[in-house]
Amino acid sequence: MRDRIVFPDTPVVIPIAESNENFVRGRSKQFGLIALVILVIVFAVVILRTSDNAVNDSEVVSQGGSAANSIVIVQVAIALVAILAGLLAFRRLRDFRRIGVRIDSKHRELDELRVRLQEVDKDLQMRLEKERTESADRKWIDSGVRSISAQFRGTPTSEAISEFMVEGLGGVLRADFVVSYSFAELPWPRIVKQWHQRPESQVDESFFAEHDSPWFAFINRLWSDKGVTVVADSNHIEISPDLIPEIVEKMRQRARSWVVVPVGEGTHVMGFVLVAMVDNARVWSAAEIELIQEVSAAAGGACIQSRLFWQSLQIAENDAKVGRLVELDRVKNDFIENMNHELRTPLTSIIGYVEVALDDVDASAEPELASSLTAVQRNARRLQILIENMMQVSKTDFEHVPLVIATVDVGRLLGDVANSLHLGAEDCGVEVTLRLDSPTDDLLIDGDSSQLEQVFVNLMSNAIKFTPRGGTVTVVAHLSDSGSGVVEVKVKDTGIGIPVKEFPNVFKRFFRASTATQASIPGFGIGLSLVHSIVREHHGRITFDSTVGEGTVFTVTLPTRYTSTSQVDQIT
Amino acid sequence: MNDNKGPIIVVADDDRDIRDLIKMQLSRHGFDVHITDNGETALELIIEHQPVVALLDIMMPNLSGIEVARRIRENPATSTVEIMLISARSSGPIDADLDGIDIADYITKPFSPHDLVQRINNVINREKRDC
Repeated sequence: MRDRIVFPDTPVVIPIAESNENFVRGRSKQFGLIALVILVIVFAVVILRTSDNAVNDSEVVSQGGSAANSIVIVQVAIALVAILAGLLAFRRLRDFRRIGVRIDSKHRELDELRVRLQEVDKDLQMRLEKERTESADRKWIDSGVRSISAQFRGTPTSEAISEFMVEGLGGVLRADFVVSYSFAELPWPRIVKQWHQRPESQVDESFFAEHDSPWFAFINRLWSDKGVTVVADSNHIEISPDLIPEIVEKMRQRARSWVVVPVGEGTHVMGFVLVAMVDNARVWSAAEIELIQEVSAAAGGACIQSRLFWQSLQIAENDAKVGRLVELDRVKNDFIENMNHELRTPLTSIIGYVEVALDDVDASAEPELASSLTAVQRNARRLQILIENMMQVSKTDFEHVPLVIATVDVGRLLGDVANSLHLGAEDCGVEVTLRLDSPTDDLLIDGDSSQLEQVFVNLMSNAIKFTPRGGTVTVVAHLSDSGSGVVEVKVKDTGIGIPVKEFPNVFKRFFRASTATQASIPGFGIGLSLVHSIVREHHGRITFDSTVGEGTVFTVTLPTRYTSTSQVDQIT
Repeated sequence: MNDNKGPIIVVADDDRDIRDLIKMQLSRHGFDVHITDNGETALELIIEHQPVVALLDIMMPNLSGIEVARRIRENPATSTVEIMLISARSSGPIDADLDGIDIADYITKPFSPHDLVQRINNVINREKRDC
């Protein structure tokens, strides 16, 4: 709050009236006394005169007695008049003297009043001067704030705002350097922008980050106290509680005089502004400090606004991106679906004609033709599996394909799959054995036959693919638990195996065992991930065990009754 | 001109090679096969020949296999014909696509010709049992 000159409420009372009253009262007393003295004197004179006359009476009488008496009377009268006149003059004189005293006291009062008036005038002058200075300061601050913060308009980035601020403050305050710090990366302040009158005063990022500095706590407290730190001369500094010695020590290395102003919003402190002189002490005026505070507050507000603006822009941009991606995704899915069709159609002809042709070939008469056609068939089948898997991947990625649940004869499905793969297995010198350990009627489950077929095609073709010539693939199915109704299928091979450390990745998409890549066995690494997701969709389980060089066994368990919340109604 | 008195099958597929393959394979197994490359002709052939089974590719220009199937079911003259759909889609048709049309079987491309014969026989035999 600004200081004010306070005038006393009660006026100074000069006691003129009182002294006047006393004066009047005193005078009447004195008059009585004087009149009495005069009367005594007059009588004394008259008596003295009559006795003198009696002594000289003979002479006087001889010269004429009546004439002498009248002279005495005249003399007495004259004496009385003279006394009266003297008395009157005396009274007058005293009155004059009294008036003089009164005039003197009035003069003194006037002098006192003049002095007071001068004091008041001086006060007034001082107040006027102060007001003038203050309004000049205000104008200076306002124009400084306006000129600097005008650059914050048009929502520039936080960095640009910081740059305008440090340059503006540096120029207006003629400081040696100004640095804007941000607490974006706690606990150390990060330099956003700095401005230097002299290049050697450049501060590097590590200046505050060197120590586990208490900067954040310090600035945070400064912010909540709505305070600033002003050091006029660091050579003569009193360490007050608001100055943290480590910070002062640190600052001393760089500056002799400085101002630190925190910047924030609400209860959240964002950073601070440091304005400093390198070599010179400086008494920072209230106006200068106020300017720094107002500019940094404006910069803080502008930064928040800018951040919000850019964020909203980012959101809009992201929305547009998402829109484009969704559209691209749709185009891609259409393309995959189309490609799927285009690949399957010629493959149908290849597989079909080869199969029909093989029916006509007498393998013993034309062994080369038979094996050639078999090779075509085997590769066409491989291509088919690839297409199936690829399609499944694109589907599971982008849309949830509902299972088409029907009764699936697992025994028959396994037989079909084994038959479709056995030619290929034969060529690879791998013996495939299928064994059903339960009556086929026990191996009926609820499921999606085309998806379950994919499970067993993948497991068996993998087993064949990873088993060296002369090895075996054994598929065993049985009703493992008639009570809860779970069908278990084991696919066991004598293949290259999977290293234990790679076990956690086996069902991850595009995973390929190191043993497979070392042996140059082709593949994409999607089969097992598909198997895993299909089995899970059927509420089943898949586990495996493997020993490098000995083989792998995959165990799939599928519940005979498929239930899901969405399909309960359909199963009766 | 065809002496074959086996079960009549009408096949509609816009791919000539597949059409010919199906005709060759089914003829070898004693079926009386009539082929076409479009849905409209398929409907005419079905009315004309009253086949046991209509084998329809889903993806055909103009009239899709599913649309042909719907018209077969709607026409009292053909409503008892067994319908088998062939598609290049990897999974079966979803119920929404079929809209309640009764389909005997669904075959995905690529298929094995042996398997095709077996499945047609299954459909015919099932029909026989039903009668």
